[in-house]
Amino acid sequence: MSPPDERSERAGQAQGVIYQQGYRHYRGRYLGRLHAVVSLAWADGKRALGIGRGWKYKLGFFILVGILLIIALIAFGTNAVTERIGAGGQSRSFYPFANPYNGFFDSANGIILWLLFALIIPDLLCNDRRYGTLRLYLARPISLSDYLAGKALAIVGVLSAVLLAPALLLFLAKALGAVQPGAYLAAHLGDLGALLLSGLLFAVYYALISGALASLTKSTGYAAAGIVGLLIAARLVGSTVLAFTHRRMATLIDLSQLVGQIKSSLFGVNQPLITLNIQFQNGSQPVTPVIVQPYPVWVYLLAALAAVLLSALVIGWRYRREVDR
Amino acid sequence: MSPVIEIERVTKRYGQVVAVSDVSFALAPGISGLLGPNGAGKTTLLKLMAGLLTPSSGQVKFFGQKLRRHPQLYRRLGYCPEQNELYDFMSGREFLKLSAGLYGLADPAQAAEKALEQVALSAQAGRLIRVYSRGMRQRLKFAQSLLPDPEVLLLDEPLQGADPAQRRMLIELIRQLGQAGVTIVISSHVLYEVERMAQQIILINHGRLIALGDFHAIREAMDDRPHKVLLEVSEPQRLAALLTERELVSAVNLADEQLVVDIGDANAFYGALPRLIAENGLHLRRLSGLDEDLESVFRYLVH
Repeated sequence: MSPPDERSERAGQAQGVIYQQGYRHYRGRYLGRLHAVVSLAWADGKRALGIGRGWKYKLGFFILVGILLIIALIAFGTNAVTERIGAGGQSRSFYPFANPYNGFFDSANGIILWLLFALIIPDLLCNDRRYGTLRLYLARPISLSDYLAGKALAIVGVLSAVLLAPALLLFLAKALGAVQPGAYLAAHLGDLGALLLSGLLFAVYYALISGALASLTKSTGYAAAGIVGLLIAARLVGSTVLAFTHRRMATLIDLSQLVGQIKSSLFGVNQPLITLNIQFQNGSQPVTPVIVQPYPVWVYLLAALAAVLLSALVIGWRYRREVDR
Repeated sequence: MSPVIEIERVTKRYGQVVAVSDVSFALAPGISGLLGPNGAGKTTLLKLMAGLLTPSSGQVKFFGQKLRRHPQLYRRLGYCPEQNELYDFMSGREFLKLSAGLYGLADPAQAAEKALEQVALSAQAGRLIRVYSRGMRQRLKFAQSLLPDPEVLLLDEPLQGADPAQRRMLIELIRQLGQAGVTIVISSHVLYEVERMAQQIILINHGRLIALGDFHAIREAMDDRPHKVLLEVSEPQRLAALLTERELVSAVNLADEQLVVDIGDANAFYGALPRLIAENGLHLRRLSGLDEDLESVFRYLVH
């Protein structure tokens, strides 16, 4: 109640005071769907990084990330040696591995990255459908596309970080270890750009392919096995066809070759395919190395784009089916 | 006033299985209890109302519109699912802040704290959900449905797993929200609790709508079922004879001083009883219906 003197001041005016409005629907400001997408991506990003997770997930995640960092350290060491003995002075187009950054993402650490994709992506995609939390998300003012955008943002963000962190550490170590760090940075800005771009490319490419596989099942185990299995099978089939036919068409079978070739081209490297010449004549099996030249990069770009679009279609179809049940 | 939720000839099939069959009704503000035995289609119907399932035929309208086509309508809806799996890697507070963020609320932290207070979970809000008991998960699920101060609340078994004190608290909260004008649909199989909260019931069985409305009115409308009435009277045997003689009852049971009768025509019985008591000098100490409660209505209609 207003004090009496205040009331007397207002005497003669029609007055009304609300003391208790009771229950009212929220009438404040709404932050919009972009904010919701970012909130979802942030929560899933933390989840993928193991924050608040059980020890099993944390152990798996940090062991794999640890191995990636060790590989980066080894790359730093071996590169220092090759530079000292002179291989670094050779033509980069002929000695592609003389550039330490080009070896990232698809050589020694490739399989570790695949295992990381198999750990992270099914966990973020399958469990929501398995435990029904997808419907809880969709009982909010967000659409299925918002939900998928949030997931994609989280997956690509975390994969980019996992892919790029060891490579950037290596770059930083080399820059700081150089006689003139500033000069090193200026001379390798192109490498840095190629590193960032290829890291993002790998993250988007593998996020979509792995996401499409994960969308086919609610089981994280099956999805993880499917992701690693498909990538290994594609590599084995591609390598076998290449070994027997020596035709570059085989490179289009290996899913990792598609982005691998694009990455090499970003680094300005022509990465030839080295295979073995396997012949079966007169019972003898002479094995000699054969170098196969890859297609121009635009072929791999188109093939990778087709793989990405197909994956996006599969994800859209599977989730639409899940929601429209 | 247009209905808040309209279900028009909705059928939901899963292959050969019909989960909900040709159901139609409309709901206005107030509390409605969604009842039915296990597998009756309660959860499916709630998910259809929440726009989380698409009907095989018919349509569901929320404030006159289709929910899934208008995601912003979810700002007016709170949905508490039956499932207990939540985001175990988060604390209760983080989960509510994320949910408030998904609702687009300007101050997710404040909304989360308010909802936590409403369900008396503030003290445990910092703990990870995976260590929550079933009752705590239940309250957290309820809290997330309260975040947008919704106009409509769809609650699927919201009292499951809660201990008696928590049940009392949640029932009181639901009643307060109902009195404040929120449209609440609460599914439960604990009939006496629904009876304490709901003004009307939606009774389904085998996916079909069996009854809708005030359960007392539904009981009254069930002419084919005799009403059981208990009478405590000074001379029960004499009254039994009088009632039978006048064909006001179809069955009589005598136990001690109590008389339990089955009545077919309630109007005739209640019209004649006072005169019969007065004219015969009897003393009626107690008169009560034995099957006027929700459980009896449910039993009669479902079994």
